[in-house]
Amino acid sequence: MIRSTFALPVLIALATVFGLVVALTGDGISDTLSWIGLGCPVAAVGWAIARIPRQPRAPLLWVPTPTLVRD
Amino acid sequence: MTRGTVRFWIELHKWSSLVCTLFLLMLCVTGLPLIFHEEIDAAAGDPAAIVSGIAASGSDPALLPLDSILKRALAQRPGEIPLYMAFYDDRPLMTVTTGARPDVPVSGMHIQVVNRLTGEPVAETGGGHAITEFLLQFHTDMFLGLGGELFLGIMGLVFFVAIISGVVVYAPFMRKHDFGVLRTTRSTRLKWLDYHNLVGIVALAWMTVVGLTGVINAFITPITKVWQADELAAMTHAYAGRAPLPPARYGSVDSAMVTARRAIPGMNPQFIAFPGTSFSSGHHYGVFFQGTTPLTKHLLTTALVDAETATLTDARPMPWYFKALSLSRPLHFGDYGGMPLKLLWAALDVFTIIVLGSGIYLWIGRRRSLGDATRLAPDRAVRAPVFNKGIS
Repeated sequence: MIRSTFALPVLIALATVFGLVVALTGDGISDTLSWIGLGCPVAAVGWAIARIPRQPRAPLLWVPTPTLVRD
Repeated sequence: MTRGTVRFWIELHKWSSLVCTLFLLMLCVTGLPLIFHEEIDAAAGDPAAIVSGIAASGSDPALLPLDSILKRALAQRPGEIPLYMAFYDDRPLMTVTTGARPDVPVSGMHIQVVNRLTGEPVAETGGGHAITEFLLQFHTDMFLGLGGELFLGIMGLVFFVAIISGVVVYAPFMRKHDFGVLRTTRSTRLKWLDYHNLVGIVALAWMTVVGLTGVINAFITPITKVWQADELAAMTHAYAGRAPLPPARYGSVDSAMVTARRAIPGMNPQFIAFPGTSFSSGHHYGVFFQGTTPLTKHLLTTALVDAETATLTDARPMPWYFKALSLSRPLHFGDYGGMPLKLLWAALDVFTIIVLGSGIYLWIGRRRSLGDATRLAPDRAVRAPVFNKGIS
């Protein structure tokens, strides 16, 4: 599915349209369903960013930065 | 797709985008705070935003008669005549709009917000509203009136062409890649090309719906004109050719409301248009009712009541094109599903800004970095497994 050019885009578009329309039809559960539908395109971008391959890096030593103390 | 076809769609995507991008950027940037206009108005101290209780549109006995509300409001504006009365459906507030003549432009109208339980004015709109009013005006017509409104509507249509052509060119660009590919390390240009493609394709449906409903909203003036010439003329044909009713002979608004409620039972009024305004004839109170369910509250049903005698002339639902306009309002504003929907609306608005901004970057970068000799041929754009030059 990830290989197909339009499979996931079409599913995301359908989820979006479902979310846009369902919130018009009522409150409560309809609103919750609309958040799920419209959450799909936002989640897709988050997922794509999360799976960017990380460059192998030399392990860094974490050095605590001194915090400024106001007096 | 043949080479020529791809070339055509790439050119269409490039030129349609170039035409509309700056205006769309303005619409996205001004639209982003407008998603939260209720919250901004409340935070800016607009008293109307924080009142709650009995709906002014209902028939609760605690609500004051419309005639007494109108009398008080008119006393504040000597020499003016009533144009509209409108009702909140979630709080006891209503507005009374007055002006020097029935046909004054919006700039010549004066709006008073009144508490229908006490008859007291709440606050004149303009104070707490100032920020969102400014943004809304810029977003609607760039302070250019009807011309600006129609211009932005046409830009919305061009944006739709850019979206469709963008989807078509997405296919050859993504042929060899998985959905969601983000090549962030090879070049800035490739990184932004991938972001442009990914964010554009996932926001496709939202951008299309919000774009096209924006176009419908932009054409509100011509749509209203069609309704006047078509439905309103048909509903009031018995009055055609009569001189307009002088304001001194306007009868009781409460009596007209009783007649209208009898004609359209089970609904509450959204607004009353006084004689001579865009939503009435020279002889009628146009009483516009909204439905009571979440879906039908966006749809209006009209009762035209003789303003002198309070007898019913005609009542009918608004025609399909006005229903389309009414439904396109929530779908454009995103204010119909609570705060989470507003936040998602804001995220998708930011996505659109990313698509527009990366599009400009890809176009400018292309022009600066490459001469004609190295220009990417459209067939390579289709066949090359990795091509980091983007749309020429």
